[in-house]
Amino acid sequence: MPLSGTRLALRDVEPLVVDDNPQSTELLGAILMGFGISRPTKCHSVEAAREVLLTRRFDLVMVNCEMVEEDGFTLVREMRAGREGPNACTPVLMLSASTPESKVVRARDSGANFTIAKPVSPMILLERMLWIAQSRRAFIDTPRYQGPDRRFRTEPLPPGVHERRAEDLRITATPDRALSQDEIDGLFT
Amino acid sequence: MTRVNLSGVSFTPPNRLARILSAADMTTVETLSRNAEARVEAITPAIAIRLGPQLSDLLATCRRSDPEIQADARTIRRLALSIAETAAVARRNDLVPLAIDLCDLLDGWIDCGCWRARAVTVQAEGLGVLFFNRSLAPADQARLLAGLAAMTSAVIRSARRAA
Repeated sequence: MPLSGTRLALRDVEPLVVDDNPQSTELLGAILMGFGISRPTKCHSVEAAREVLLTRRFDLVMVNCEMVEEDGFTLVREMRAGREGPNACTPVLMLSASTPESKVVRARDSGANFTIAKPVSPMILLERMLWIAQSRRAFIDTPRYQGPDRRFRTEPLPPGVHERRAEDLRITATPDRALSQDEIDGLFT
Repeated sequence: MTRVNLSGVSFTPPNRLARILSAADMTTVETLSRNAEARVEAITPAIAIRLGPQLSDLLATCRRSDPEIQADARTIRRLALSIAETAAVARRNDLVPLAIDLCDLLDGWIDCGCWRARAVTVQAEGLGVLFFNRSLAPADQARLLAGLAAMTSAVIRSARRAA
Protein backbone atom coordinates (compact mmCIF):
# COMPACT_ATOMS: atom_id res chain seq x y z
CA MET A 1 0.00 0.00 0.00
CA PRO A 2 1.37 3.45 -0.79
CA LEU A 3 2.36 5.45 2.26
CA SER A 4 -0.32 8.10 1.70
CA GLY A 5 -3.10 5.50 2.04
CA THR A 6 -1.72 3.92 5.21
CA ARG A 7 -3.95 4.51 8.21
CA LEU A 8 -2.59 5.58 11.59
CA ALA A 9 -4.10 6.46 14.96
CA LEU A 10 -1.95 9.16 16.49
CA ARG A 11 -4.46 10.85 18.77
CA ASP A 12 -3.30 9.04 21.91
CA VAL A 13 0.41 9.23 21.23
CA GLU A 14 2.33 10.93 24.03
CA PRO A 15 5.41 12.65 22.64
CA LEU A 16 8.03 14.75 24.38
CA VAL A 17 9.60 17.64 22.45
CA VAL A 18 12.91 19.00 23.75
CA ASP A 19 14.13 22.16 22.04
CA ASP A 20 15.38 25.49 23.33
CA ASN A 21 14.29 27.30 20.17
CA PRO A 22 10.71 28.52 20.75
CA GLN A 23 9.87 28.77 17.07
CA SER A 24 10.96 25.16 16.52
CA THR A 25 8.70 23.94 19.28
CA GLU A 26 5.92 26.11 17.86
CA LEU A 27 6.37 24.56 14.43
CA LEU A 28 6.56 21.03 15.78
CA GLY A 29 3.56 21.71 18.00
CA ALA A 30 1.58 22.77 14.91
CA ILE A 31 2.58 19.59 13.08
CA LEU A 32 1.61 17.39 16.02
CA MET A 33 -1.72 19.23 16.33
CA GLY A 34 -2.30 18.46 12.67
CA PHE A 35 -1.73 14.79 13.51
CA GLY A 36 -4.42 15.06 16.20
CA ILE A 37 -1.91 15.07 19.07
CA SER A 38 -3.26 17.98 21.04
CA ARG A 39 -1.03 18.12 24.09
CA PRO A 40 2.58 17.19 23.46
CA THR A 41 4.88 17.76 26.40
CA LYS A 42 7.43 20.48 25.59
CA CYS A 43 10.67 21.17 27.40
CA HIS A 44 12.92 24.09 26.55
CA SER A 45 16.04 22.71 28.20
CA VAL A 46 17.79 19.41 28.82
CA GLU A 47 17.49 20.01 32.53
CA ALA A 48 13.69 20.30 32.34
CA ALA A 49 13.51 17.23 30.08
CA ARG A 50 15.64 15.20 32.46
CA GLU A 51 13.04 15.69 35.19
CA VAL A 52 10.00 14.66 33.18
CA LEU A 53 11.83 11.71 31.65
CA LEU A 54 12.38 10.29 35.12
CA THR A 55 8.72 10.38 36.06
CA ARG A 56 6.69 9.87 32.86
CA ARG A 57 6.81 7.27 30.12
CA PHE A 58 6.62 8.70 26.60
CA ASP A 59 5.86 7.02 23.28
CA LEU A 60 8.34 9.14 21.37
CA VAL A 61 11.00 11.70 22.26
CA MET A 62 12.07 14.39 19.79
CA VAL A 63 15.26 16.19 20.75
CA ASN A 64 17.14 19.05 19.17
CA CYS A 65 20.81 18.06 18.82
CA GLU A 66 22.08 21.56 19.43
CA MET A 67 20.95 23.43 22.46
CA VAL A 68 22.92 26.17 24.14
CA GLU A 69 23.12 25.02 27.75
CA GLU A 70 23.40 21.26 27.18
CA ASP A 71 23.11 19.42 23.91
CA GLY A 72 20.62 16.75 22.94
CA PHE A 73 23.28 14.05 22.49
CA THR A 74 23.96 14.12 26.23
CA LEU A 75 20.27 13.75 27.05
CA VAL A 76 19.82 10.77 24.74
CA ARG A 77 22.91 9.00 26.09
CA GLU A 78 21.61 9.49 29.63
CA MET A 79 18.17 8.16 28.66
CA ARG A 80 19.69 5.03 27.15
CA ALA A 81 22.12 4.48 30.01
CA GLY A 82 19.38 4.77 32.65
CA ARG A 83 18.44 1.12 32.32
CA GLU A 84 15.77 1.24 35.00
CA GLY A 85 14.28 4.51 33.75
CA PRO A 86 10.83 4.56 32.14
CA ASN A 87 12.23 5.83 28.83
CA ALA A 88 15.44 3.84 28.39
CA CYS A 89 14.01 2.17 25.26
CA THR A 90 11.68 4.95 24.08
CA PRO A 91 12.17 5.81 20.40
CA VAL A 92 14.18 8.98 19.89
CA LEU A 93 14.18 11.26 16.87
CA MET A 94 17.05 13.74 16.80
CA LEU A 95 16.35 17.05 15.08
CA SER A 96 19.06 19.20 13.58
CA ALA A 97 19.20 22.41 11.56
CA SER A 98 22.56 21.41 10.12
CA THR A 99 23.29 17.84 9.13
CA PRO A 100 26.96 17.20 8.41
CA GLU A 101 27.80 13.51 8.52
CA SER A 102 29.71 13.92 11.80
CA LYS A 103 26.58 15.14 13.58
CA VAL A 104 24.33 12.42 12.15
CA VAL A 105 26.80 9.72 13.20
CA ARG A 106 27.05 11.28 16.65
CA ALA A 107 23.26 11.20 16.97
CA ARG A 108 23.17 7.56 15.91
CA ASP A 109 25.97 6.64 18.33
CA SER A 110 24.19 8.45 21.17
CA GLY A 111 21.27 6.04 20.76
CA ALA A 112 18.86 7.94 18.50
CA ASN A 113 16.55 5.91 16.24
CA PHE A 114 16.64 8.46 13.43
CA THR A 115 17.78 11.99 12.69
CA ILE A 116 15.51 14.49 10.94
CA ALA A 117 16.72 17.66 9.25
CA LYS A 118 14.98 20.85 10.34
CA PRO A 119 12.60 22.34 9.46
CA VAL A 120 10.64 19.17 10.11
CA SER A 121 8.28 18.17 7.32
CA PRO A 122 5.04 16.46 8.39
CA MET A 123 5.49 13.63 5.88
CA ILE A 124 9.07 12.94 6.96
CA LEU A 125 7.96 12.80 10.59
CA LEU A 126 5.01 10.51 9.78
CA GLU A 127 7.28 8.17 7.82
CA ARG A 128 9.73 7.82 10.72
CA MET A 129 6.90 7.23 13.19
CA LEU A 130 5.53 4.56 10.88
CA TRP A 131 8.95 2.94 10.48
CA ILE A 132 9.39 2.80 14.25
CA ALA A 133 5.85 1.43 14.77
CA GLN A 134 6.45 -1.34 12.23
CA SER A 135 9.94 -2.19 13.37
CA ARG A 136 11.11 -4.95 15.66
CA ARG A 137 14.50 -3.37 15.99
CA ALA A 138 16.65 -4.96 18.65
CA PHE A 139 18.20 -3.01 21.49
CA ILE A 140 21.83 -3.34 22.37
CA ASP A 141 23.15 -2.96 25.89
CA THR A 142 26.92 -3.03 26.07
CA PRO A 143 29.41 -1.13 28.21
CA ARG A 144 30.12 1.20 25.29
CA TYR A 145 26.72 1.59 23.68
CA GLN A 146 23.09 1.40 24.74
CA GLY A 147 20.41 1.95 22.14
CA PRO A 148 18.77 0.61 19.02
CA ASP A 149 20.83 -1.79 16.98
CA ARG A 150 22.75 0.43 14.62
CA ARG A 151 22.36 -2.17 11.89
CA PHE A 152 18.75 -3.10 12.38
CA ARG A 153 18.25 -5.01 9.15
CA THR A 154 19.89 -8.19 10.30
CA GLU A 155 18.54 -10.57 7.68
CA PRO A 156 21.20 -12.02 5.38
CA LEU A 157 21.46 -10.26 2.04
CA PRO A 158 19.40 -11.86 -0.72
CA PRO A 159 21.32 -13.73 -3.42
CA GLY A 160 22.94 -11.40 -5.91
CA VAL A 161 22.73 -8.36 -3.61
CA HIS A 162 26.01 -6.87 -2.60
CA GLU A 163 26.97 -5.20 0.65
CA ARG A 164 26.04 -1.50 0.64
CA ARG A 165 29.27 -0.42 2.26
CA ALA A 166 30.72 1.02 -0.93
CA GLU A 167 27.61 3.16 -1.37
CA ASP A 168 27.77 4.34 2.25
CA LEU A 169 31.40 5.29 1.80
CA ARG A 170 30.54 7.25 -1.33
CA ILE A 171 27.94 9.19 0.65
CA THR A 172 30.40 10.02 3.40
CA ALA A 173 33.22 11.00 1.02
CA THR A 174 32.31 14.68 1.48
CA PRO A 175 31.25 14.66 5.11
CA ASP A 176 31.35 18.43 5.66
CA ARG A 177 28.32 19.25 3.57
CA ALA A 178 24.77 18.91 4.84
CA LEU A 179 23.40 15.47 4.08
CA SER A 180 20.02 15.05 2.46
CA GLN A 181 17.27 13.29 4.43
CA ASP A 182 17.82 10.11 2.39
CA GLU A 183 21.55 10.19 3.09
CA ILE A 184 20.85 10.72 6.81
CA ASP A 185 18.56 7.68 6.80
CA GLY A 186 21.30 5.73 5.05
CA LEU A 187 23.55 6.16 8.07
CA PHE A 188 20.89 4.62 10.33
CA THR A 189 19.98 1.67 8.14
CA MET B 1 13.84 -12.44 23.07
CA THR B 2 17.11 -11.66 24.84
CA ARG B 3 20.48 -12.75 23.52
CA VAL B 4 23.54 -12.50 25.73
CA ASN B 5 27.13 -12.67 24.64
CA LEU B 6 30.43 -11.71 26.18
CA SER B 7 30.22 -8.10 25.12
CA GLY B 8 26.62 -7.31 26.08
CA VAL B 9 22.91 -8.01 25.76
CA SER B 10 20.58 -7.75 22.79
CA PHE B 11 16.83 -7.71 23.35
CA THR B 12 13.62 -6.54 21.70
CA PRO B 13 11.80 -4.00 23.89
CA PRO B 14 8.02 -3.55 23.75
CA ASN B 15 7.13 -1.20 20.91
CA ARG B 16 4.69 1.31 22.41
CA LEU B 17 4.31 3.10 19.11
CA ALA B 18 3.03 -0.09 17.45
CA ARG B 19 -0.47 0.70 18.72
CA ILE B 20 -0.78 3.52 16.17
CA LEU B 21 -1.12 0.79 13.54
CA SER B 22 -4.13 -0.92 15.06
CA ALA B 23 -6.08 1.47 17.30
CA ALA B 24 -9.57 2.65 16.47
CA ASP B 25 -10.15 6.02 14.82
CA MET B 26 -7.41 5.69 12.21
CA THR B 27 -6.71 8.43 9.67
CA THR B 28 -4.79 8.15 6.41
CA VAL B 29 -1.23 9.45 6.29
CA GLU B 30 -2.32 11.70 3.44
CA THR B 31 -4.97 13.39 5.62
CA LEU B 32 -2.68 13.65 8.63
CA SER B 33 0.03 15.22 6.50
CA ARG B 34 -2.41 17.62 4.84
CA ASN B 35 -3.80 18.70 8.23
CA ALA B 36 -0.30 19.28 9.58
CA GLU B 37 0.81 21.19 6.46
CA ALA B 38 -2.23 23.46 6.82
CA ARG B 39 -1.32 24.23 10.42
CA VAL B 40 2.29 24.92 9.44
CA GLU B 41 1.14 27.21 6.62
CA ALA B 42 -1.04 29.09 9.09
CA ILE B 43 1.88 29.95 11.37
CA THR B 44 4.56 30.39 8.67
CA PRO B 45 3.93 34.14 8.09
CA ALA B 46 4.24 34.80 11.83
CA ILE B 47 7.56 32.92 11.91
CA ALA B 48 8.87 34.43 8.65
CA ILE B 49 8.28 37.96 9.86
CA ARG B 50 10.84 37.37 12.62
CA LEU B 51 13.64 36.98 10.06
CA GLY B 52 14.18 40.73 9.60
CA PRO B 53 14.49 41.52 13.33
CA GLN B 54 16.70 38.45 13.88
CA LEU B 55 19.05 39.60 11.10
CA SER B 56 19.08 43.15 12.48
CA ASP B 57 20.07 41.74 15.88
CA LEU B 58 22.80 39.68 14.26
CA LEU B 59 24.19 42.66 12.37
CA ALA B 60 24.18 44.85 15.48
CA THR B 61 25.99 42.12 17.43
CA CYS B 62 28.55 41.44 14.71
CA ARG B 63 29.36 45.11 14.01
CA ARG B 64 31.28 45.26 17.27
CA SER B 65 34.98 44.57 17.79
CA ASP B 66 36.40 41.07 17.39
CA PRO B 67 37.02 40.63 21.17
CA GLU B 68 33.39 41.54 21.88
CA ILE B 69 32.19 39.08 19.26
CA GLN B 70 34.46 36.37 20.67
CA ALA B 71 33.06 36.96 24.15
CA ASP B 72 29.50 36.50 22.87
CA ALA B 73 30.30 33.71 20.41
CA ARG B 74 27.82 31.20 21.86
CA THR B 75 24.96 33.70 21.89
CA ILE B 76 25.72 34.77 18.32
CA ARG B 77 25.90 31.14 17.24
CA ARG B 78 22.49 30.50 18.73
CA LEU B 79 21.10 33.50 16.86
CA ALA B 80 22.69 32.34 13.60
CA LEU B 81 21.22 28.86 14.02
CA SER B 82 17.84 30.37 14.75
CA ILE B 83 18.14 32.46 11.57
CA ALA B 84 18.92 29.29 9.59
CA GLU B 85 15.77 27.65 10.95
CA THR B 86 13.60 30.72 10.40
CA ALA B 87 14.95 31.19 6.87
CA ALA B 88 14.15 27.57 6.01
CA VAL B 89 10.58 27.95 7.28
CA ALA B 90 10.28 31.26 5.39
CA ARG B 91 11.54 29.50 2.23
CA ARG B 92 14.57 31.80 2.06
CA ASN B 93 16.79 28.84 1.29
CA ASP B 94 19.51 31.13 -0.06
CA LEU B 95 20.13 32.33 3.50
CA VAL B 96 20.28 28.92 5.18
CA PRO B 97 23.80 27.82 4.13
CA LEU B 98 25.20 31.26 4.94
CA ALA B 99 23.77 31.11 8.45
CA ILE B 100 25.07 27.55 8.93
CA ASP B 101 28.51 28.66 7.72
CA LEU B 102 28.40 31.45 10.28
CA CYS B 103 27.78 28.80 12.96
CA ASP B 104 30.80 26.87 11.65
CA LEU B 105 32.98 30.00 11.80
CA LEU B 106 31.93 30.50 15.41
CA ASP B 107 32.49 26.81 16.19
CA GLY B 108 36.08 27.29 15.04
CA TRP B 109 36.51 29.84 17.81
CA ILE B 110 34.41 28.05 20.46
CA ASP B 111 35.89 24.58 19.90
CA CYS B 112 39.54 25.28 19.06
CA GLY B 113 40.25 28.98 19.39
CA CYS B 114 40.63 29.45 15.65
CA TRP B 115 39.77 33.02 14.65
CA ARG B 116 40.13 34.95 11.39
CA ALA B 117 39.82 38.71 11.94
CA ARG B 118 36.49 40.13 10.73
CA ALA B 119 35.34 36.86 9.11
CA VAL B 120 32.26 36.60 11.35
CA THR B 121 31.39 40.24 10.67
CA VAL B 122 31.81 39.82 6.91
CA GLN B 123 29.62 36.70 6.91
CA ALA B 124 26.90 38.46 8.91
CA GLU B 125 27.05 41.48 6.58
CA GLY B 126 26.69 39.11 3.62
CA LEU B 127 23.52 37.68 5.16
CA GLY B 128 22.25 41.20 5.74
CA VAL B 129 22.93 42.28 2.16
CA LEU B 130 21.14 39.25 0.73
CA PHE B 131 18.10 39.83 2.90
CA PHE B 132 17.79 43.61 3.03
CA ASN B 133 19.13 44.65 -0.38
CA ARG B 134 16.32 43.60 -2.67
CA SER B 135 17.83 45.38 -5.68
CA LEU B 136 21.04 43.34 -5.69
CA ALA B 137 21.73 42.22 -9.27
CA PRO B 138 21.95 38.43 -9.77
CA ALA B 139 25.58 38.72 -10.94
CA ASP B 140 26.51 40.68 -7.80
CA GLN B 141 24.64 38.20 -5.66
CA ALA B 142 26.54 35.30 -7.25
CA ARG B 143 29.86 37.13 -6.72
CA LEU B 144 28.94 37.78 -3.08
CA LEU B 145 28.02 34.14 -2.45
CA ALA B 146 31.21 32.88 -4.13
CA GLY B 147 33.36 35.26 -2.08
CA LEU B 148 31.71 34.28 1.20
CA ALA B 149 31.95 30.57 0.36
CA ALA B 150 35.69 30.91 -0.39
CA MET B 151 36.27 32.80 2.85
CA THR B 152 34.32 30.43 5.08
CA SER B 153 35.78 27.27 3.58
CA ALA B 154 39.33 28.62 4.09
CA VAL B 155 38.61 29.53 7.72
CA ILE B 156 36.76 26.30 8.48
CA ARG B 157 39.57 24.24 6.89
CA SER B 158 42.17 25.90 9.09
CA ALA B 159 39.94 25.41 12.15
CA ARG B 160 39.66 21.70 11.37
CA ARG B 161 43.43 21.45 10.99
CA ALA B 162 43.83 23.12 14.38
CA ALA B 163 41.28 20.84 16.04
